[in-house]
Amino acid sequence: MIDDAPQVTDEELVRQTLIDKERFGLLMERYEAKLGRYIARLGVHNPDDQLDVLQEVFLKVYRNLNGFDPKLKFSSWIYRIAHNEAISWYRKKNVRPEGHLVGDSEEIIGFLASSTEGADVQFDEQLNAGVVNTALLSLDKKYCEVLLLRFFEHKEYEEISDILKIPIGSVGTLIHRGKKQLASAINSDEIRT
Amino acid sequence: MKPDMTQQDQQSEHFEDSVKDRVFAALDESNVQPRSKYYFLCLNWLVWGLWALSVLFGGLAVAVVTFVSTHRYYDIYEATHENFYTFILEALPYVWFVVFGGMLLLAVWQLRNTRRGYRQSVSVLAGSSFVFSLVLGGLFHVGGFGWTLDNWLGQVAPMYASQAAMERKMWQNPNEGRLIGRQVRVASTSPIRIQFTDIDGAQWQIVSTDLSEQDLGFLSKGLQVRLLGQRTSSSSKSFHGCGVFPWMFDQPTKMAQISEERQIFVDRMYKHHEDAEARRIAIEREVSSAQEVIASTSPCHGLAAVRRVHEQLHP
Repeated sequence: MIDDAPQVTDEELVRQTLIDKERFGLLMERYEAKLGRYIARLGVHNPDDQLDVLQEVFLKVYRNLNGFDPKLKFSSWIYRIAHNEAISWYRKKNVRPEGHLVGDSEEIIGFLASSTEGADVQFDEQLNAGVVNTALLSLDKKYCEVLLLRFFEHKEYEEISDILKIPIGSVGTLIHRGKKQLASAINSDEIRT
Repeated sequence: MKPDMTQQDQQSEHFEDSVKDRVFAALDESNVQPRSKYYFLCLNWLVWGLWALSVLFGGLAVAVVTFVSTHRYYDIYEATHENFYTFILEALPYVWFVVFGGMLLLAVWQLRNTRRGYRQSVSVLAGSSFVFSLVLGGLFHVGGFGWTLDNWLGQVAPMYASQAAMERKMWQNPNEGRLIGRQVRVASTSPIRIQFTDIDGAQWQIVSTDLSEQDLGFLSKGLQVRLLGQRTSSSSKSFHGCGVFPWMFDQPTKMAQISEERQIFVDRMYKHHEDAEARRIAIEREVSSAQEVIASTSPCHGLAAVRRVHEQLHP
């Protein structure tokens, strides 16, 4: 199915899906790539596993469509479900999230150049993507999650708050502390060598 | 496939081919339908309902804390404790503080599980629930629910000691100069000796020379009272009365009544001291050294409560 109504909002598509199941296909098309990337960044790196998780995400979304709060952004709601599903997947599998390419070189450079948050934390722009990836994955889970959403999924504070279900005020704090911890992780010999 | 496609883009293309089909197949196979909106409505109401219950029980805990804190021997605490600090340390209802804390935690947890509760900080969630419980507790206290709940729990829960039970335990202690009971009859009129039955059923002869008209009035009503005084000997059931105070735990009592009761107690204890002083001065006029004589004139002067009240008024 091709998205024949790009101007139709997600929220409108939710409403239409409740009348006509086929419209759910449009929502899936809009989000499968984004969510696939996000799930991979969270540590589900095997494509087949990603597919399983993604399928479960969409099934949950469909089952709970009436529970969607229209005062939230649909994307925040679906990201929250994806986030929870990824976490429950590696809990179920009894594995830790594995190292995975968080972002490509372009994204990493964009992340390093961002000065909106944690401007007092300086990164050496000559760092290669691999070092940053390794450092990101070594962070505490709570920091890694907010940094991923902020700098690689480009979510606003309010959206991050809705996805992770944490107070809006905590988002800024976590980003700031996460960047500091990242800087110290990058500078540690263990990661550079 | 485009040559400049990243690994992630290639994966996305792979997903597009299969995810949607797999999801639709799963939906059809199990005939999955969206859950009813009433299910989510009920869930939401359930969370808010549990929050309301937590706040309600928190409010009841506040009401009992207020009731117990303001009623526990407060009116005449000098009769039972060395000073206000030792009194308050024993009087604080720790169990109810724990209940209140637990209810507050539950309320915060429920609020965090409301649709947008997670957006607020814990301090905002805890603060709002705290204020609600406090206001509700204040209203309950005014309505007498603190006493009602405390009394009811005392009757139905064997492990729970109600305020009235603790007060009874504290006051039924003749060796410490405290009795609870009621007048049975006046045994003799000159001097007045009163037959008194305590709550354990023991019969006492009360020496009433130091009791005021008001004390005798309380006794003559035949109602349960608290009697402050001194046991005259360890072998006989004879008790020298120094003050009679009404039993106040049969019904909710207002703070004004307690304050009034306290004022009467302080005046009575001070009067015992003044009477002893007056007797000492009178005797001193006749005898040069009369201290030993005074000691035997009235046991009431020797009460710890008289000393404590005097020390408070003349530090």
